[in-house]
Amino acid sequence: MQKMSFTRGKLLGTSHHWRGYATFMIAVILAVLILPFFAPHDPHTVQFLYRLKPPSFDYPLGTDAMGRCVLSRLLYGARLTTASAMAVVVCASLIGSLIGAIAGMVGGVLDRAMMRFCEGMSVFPALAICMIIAGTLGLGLKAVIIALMCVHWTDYARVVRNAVIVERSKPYVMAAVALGARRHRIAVRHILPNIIGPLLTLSAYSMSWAILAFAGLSFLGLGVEPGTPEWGLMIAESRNYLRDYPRLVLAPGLTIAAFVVAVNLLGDMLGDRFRVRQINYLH
Amino acid sequence: MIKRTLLGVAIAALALGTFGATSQDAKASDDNTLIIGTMWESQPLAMKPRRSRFFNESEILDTLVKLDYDLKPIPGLATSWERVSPTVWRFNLRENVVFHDGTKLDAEAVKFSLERVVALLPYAADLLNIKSMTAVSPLVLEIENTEPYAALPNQLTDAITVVYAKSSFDEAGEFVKPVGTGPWKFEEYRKQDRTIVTRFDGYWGEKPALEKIVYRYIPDHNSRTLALEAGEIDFVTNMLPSDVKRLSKDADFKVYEQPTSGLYYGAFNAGDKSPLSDVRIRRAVNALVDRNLIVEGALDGIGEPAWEFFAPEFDWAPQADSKYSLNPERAASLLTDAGYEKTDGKWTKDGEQLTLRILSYTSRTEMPMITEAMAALLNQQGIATDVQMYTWGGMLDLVKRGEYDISVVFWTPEMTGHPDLHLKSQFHSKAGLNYQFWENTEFDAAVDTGRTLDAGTEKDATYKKAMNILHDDAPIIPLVHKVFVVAATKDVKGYRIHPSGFFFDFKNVSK
Repeated sequence: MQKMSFTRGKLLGTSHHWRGYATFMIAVILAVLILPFFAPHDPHTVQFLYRLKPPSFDYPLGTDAMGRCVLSRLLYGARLTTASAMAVVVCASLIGSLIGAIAGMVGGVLDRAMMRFCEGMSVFPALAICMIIAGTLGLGLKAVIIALMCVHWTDYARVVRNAVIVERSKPYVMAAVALGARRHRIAVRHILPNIIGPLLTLSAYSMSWAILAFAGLSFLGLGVEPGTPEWGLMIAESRNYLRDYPRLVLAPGLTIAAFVVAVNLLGDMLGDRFRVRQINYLH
Repeated sequence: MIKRTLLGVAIAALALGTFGATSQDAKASDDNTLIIGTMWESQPLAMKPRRSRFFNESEILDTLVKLDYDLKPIPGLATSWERVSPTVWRFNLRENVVFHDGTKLDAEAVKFSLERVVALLPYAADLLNIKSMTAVSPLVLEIENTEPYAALPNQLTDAITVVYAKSSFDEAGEFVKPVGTGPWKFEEYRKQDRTIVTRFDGYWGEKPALEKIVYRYIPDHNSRTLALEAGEIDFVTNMLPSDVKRLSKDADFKVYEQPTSGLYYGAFNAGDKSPLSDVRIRRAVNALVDRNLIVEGALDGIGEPAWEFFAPEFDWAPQADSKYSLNPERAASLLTDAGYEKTDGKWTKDGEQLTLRILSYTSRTEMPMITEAMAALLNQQGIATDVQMYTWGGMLDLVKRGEYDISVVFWTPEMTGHPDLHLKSQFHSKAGLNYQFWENTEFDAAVDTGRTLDAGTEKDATYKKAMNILHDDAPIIPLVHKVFVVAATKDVKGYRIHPSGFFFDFKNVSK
């Protein structure tokens, strides 16, 4: 009886944090969606007669080699980068969690086979896999999102599988089993609420991973179409002007760095809240 | 782990790309060695059309006929040539020429070499048009063509016709390494790194001042120039326009800048898969792109706006009667004719905006900038674009399958000082390099005839006709005429840009 109530308490606590996290994420998403409206110019407008201008009142961060407003491109890039990174994280976590939960709940040969497959995946350098997938599917945003997802779901599968195995042996699960609950009900109603903390923490970290990976692939020319306001691509396109106009590389570079630091801090905060110590972080 | 790996790779790529060149053997060069940073690897162990240009460019091997600084044919390994009958050319070879392996150059050796070239390089057969070759005496070679062939001496300046010694090939006739008659002999090749040539003391011409030339492969356009500034190399090719500006102001370096043959152009897909199969749209695109803005905006003014196929500096090729010009009104009426309608500033047909898929490649310095600028200018005029950058090979795959609308490429039309090379190899409907699905029987007939004609009014008229068809039927959009730029340290003396853009001529260089 005592143990049951302990579990309930933890559950309530979890859902409290879950609400805070959700509010925060919605605020971030809204901010990112609204940001482009503050852009002073159209990020695509090319003005050859107004290229490489220094920062001014009209162009707070100056213009790039094609005469486009750097600030506007950064603001539009925020939406594109965040939305793509979110897509990667959401898809990877859903697929990975489902597979991890099945492996953890079913166990046995299936579990071993799945985990060996995940390990196999993580042996390959992620960038190489992304390049192969993006190369096969053809260049473009969709290909990169799919590629990053394919690489990333294994992390979730392993974390969820380990968490499920730990939780499965706990008394509250045994109690549920004794009451005759079915396996999927145990997984969804009992175990999932108890591992949501580690999952959310992992998702914050993987968000920053996705942003960096996305920018990296764009930098290498595998991501979005040339001319798109995307941070990694902005660095790649300004690279040729690094010596004479370092601000063109610094602006997107520092933005990426700041964004990643912010998301990582959020992850740390969540980790502290949930007292995530023993999660098997794979990256 | 994954995150670290990916991040590490990305950072390493960045660091290597930007600073990689500065980490090794600084100041490796002494007064007798010239180190050159090149954009493409100087591959001495492959004999493909694009690559074997290096053999001529670096003068490891010589051609029978060479081009002077006005692109006029001058003696190379042949001292004189004459036509003994409409279809037969006689070449008198230079005396006392030895190959790097010590064997003597004679008519049999030249015959052997040209036969190997034709056997190994697909487009050489059409270029040279040889029916048979006869070594009349040790120093006289007669070449019989399948038709009267006035273009032959010019064609023999093409880099792929260089004369190889027998020891360049193995028993089975496959290419092994370049053994030639040039002032430089091939010494060493380190894959993806450098190719080294040293002075050949048995050279038939004037002895070069330098002892050794190192061609270093530095593919990143930033690091190549950085390597020059760091003192690691003496000479750099294919610089970024922004670097040209900076180095021009620096007293430690000398920037050489001169128009050479070479055209950046958009090749249209005239096949069924593309809206550009309609000549009206091809003409409209030509009238919508302001080449001045491309030169100013994408190339910092280094280049010449191309409103015609051959650069106006080169007077040996006839020009078409008219040039393209920026003319949005004319473009508008052409597009309207073709069934498009301008709504909200967008050219649409059946509710869909006219969208062009534009491909190019990143390994050549200026390609991304020119491509993006052209796309931006089309966007401003209401034509949507889908720009994708590939490697050269990746782009060519799609182009061969016809999955593109415009591919932005660079080619050197004036390389041999004769209009035949580029016109026939790129635009003839039977040409192996014509991936544009463009076919024009009158054009084919004109370039088939042009190469058989001696210099004179008939030849001019024939090529003028070909140029007019090229202009009117618009299979391409000429964008920029190349201005060749290299930079060297101020110690490098005696360098001169050759207008073919494919010839370093380091014989007279010292430092």
